[in-house]
Amino acid sequence: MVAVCRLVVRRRVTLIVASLAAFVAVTAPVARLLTTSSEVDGAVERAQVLAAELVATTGTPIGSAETYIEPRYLLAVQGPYDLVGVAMGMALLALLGGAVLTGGDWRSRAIGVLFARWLARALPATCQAIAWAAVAAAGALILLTATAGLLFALAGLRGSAFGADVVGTALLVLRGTLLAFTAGIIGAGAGIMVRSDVIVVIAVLTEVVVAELLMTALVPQWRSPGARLIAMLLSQDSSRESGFVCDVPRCEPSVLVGAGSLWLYAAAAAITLTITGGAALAASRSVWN
Amino acid sequence: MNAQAVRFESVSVSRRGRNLVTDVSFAVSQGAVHALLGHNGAGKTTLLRALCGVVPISTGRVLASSEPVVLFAHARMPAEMTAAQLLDYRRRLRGLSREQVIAAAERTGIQSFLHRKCSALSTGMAQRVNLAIAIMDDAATIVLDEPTTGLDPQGVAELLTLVVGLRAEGRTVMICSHDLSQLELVCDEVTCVQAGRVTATGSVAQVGATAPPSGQVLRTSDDPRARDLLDRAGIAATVTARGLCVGPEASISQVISALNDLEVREATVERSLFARIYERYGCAPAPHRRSLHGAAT
Repeated sequence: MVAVCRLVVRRRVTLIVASLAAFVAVTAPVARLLTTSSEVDGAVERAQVLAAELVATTGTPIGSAETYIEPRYLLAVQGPYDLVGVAMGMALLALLGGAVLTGGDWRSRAIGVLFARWLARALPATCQAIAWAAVAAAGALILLTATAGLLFALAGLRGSAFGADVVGTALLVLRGTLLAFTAGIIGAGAGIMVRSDVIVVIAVLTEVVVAELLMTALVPQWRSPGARLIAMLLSQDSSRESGFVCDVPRCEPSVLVGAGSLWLYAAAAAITLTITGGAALAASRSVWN
Repeated sequence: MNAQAVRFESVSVSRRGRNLVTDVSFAVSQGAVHALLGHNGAGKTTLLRALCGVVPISTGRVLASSEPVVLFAHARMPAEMTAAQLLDYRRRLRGLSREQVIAAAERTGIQSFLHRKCSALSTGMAQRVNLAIAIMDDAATIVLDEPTTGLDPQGVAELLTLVVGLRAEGRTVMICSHDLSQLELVCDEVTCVQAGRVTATGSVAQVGATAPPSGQVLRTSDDPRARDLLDRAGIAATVTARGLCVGPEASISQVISALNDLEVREATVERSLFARIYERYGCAPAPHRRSLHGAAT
């Protein structure tokens, strides 16, 4: 297992996925840095002026709360969504990377030299999938923690960390790590099961285009698997009181992240076990080509 | 008779209702170099797959004195890894010592390109890295599937030298190849497979004795004159760029005596022993191939 883990870390796909994950991790803070400002007084003033103009034009009573555009980065409001976005990106990378690693080795027939013995190929193949998932989870933990840190720093620089939920952020980072592990095992396991990376990548792309984009656009009631996953990852806790106090005419509601349903963790464990067992069985299948 | 390293006993392998090999029985002696000959699709690689247990055997069984290392022709190596990384991975996987890796690298002469990526290795280099893996695993039986494919003559010569060296160490080597003229230089035993069935098996001497005789190719000091001399002796001969070709009906001693005092600089067989064994036992195409050929013509 140690040898397999060392090998996984050295593979090209790991380096590429790690680079992309690092890019994803810094994208959210950098994008927020470029689009936010701490100049709240000016924003309030502009909202009041605009509201007054609208009242004069339309004759309808419009308050500055309706014209106020928040220029700051409010960690309690935007932070959880940013972290969830980064976690989703990492999960997608873990899924695709796992498929490319294991499925690519089967497809390119490089798998033979990676087994100690052809007869006992289930164990090393499964180890490869678990090693990938572990590496993906470790990477996700590091990068999500770094992202959370950067967002806290950004809030101090360009907004406010007031009312930020540290425990919720930690839970989100842990759930993001778990998601990366599960996605990694699904991708690597699927690569072993279908013995090709191409099929898995095409399946994932099809899911994104059809279930996430097309269906969402065409069917109003449709709740895509991605949206469900985001809700599960966020697991908002409405029972807790937020310490967040709005100090401007209008604020988006803050997000309090909860511990999440037990079913969520049970499902992750069940998926991991099922995929691992499936991968072991699939690796033992005959090798005709 | 030597102890057997591998024994196929009435082995049949089928896939999707089609018999790929049927009732195959033969043995590979320990410490021998054994050639497995057959046309494309004869079932050679299927037998190797059955040997290493990656395809199910319908009937019969395969017995091996030790687990063989099979180096498949189509096998690739992870492109981005260097040969050294690959060997190091195998070392850790099998719990081997560094000394074993170094010895295997020296034995196969791969030290000069150990730090090259697998994608940058030539066919011959990759073949040698594969052999180094087999050697460091201390495999008593090594099976090479089409090892000379893509190798230049020097690469083939180096590979065969390695094979001879492996035999000298007491290892058993089974080779599946179409490079017949080279193969016969190192093989002790041969098995011919035709359309999934064994048509001949035994020592090269035994099987070779049943092969059709070969014509001779001579290079003499004066080939046209040699042809005239042979004509007078009633031996048909033709002058070609390769030399003076004499048919298989005349023995080499008859030819030499007919040439009188003419200097014979070189004498070779027109067709190698394995080519004749192949023709006798293994080259006839399977029935479906024949019908395709017929349809085309």
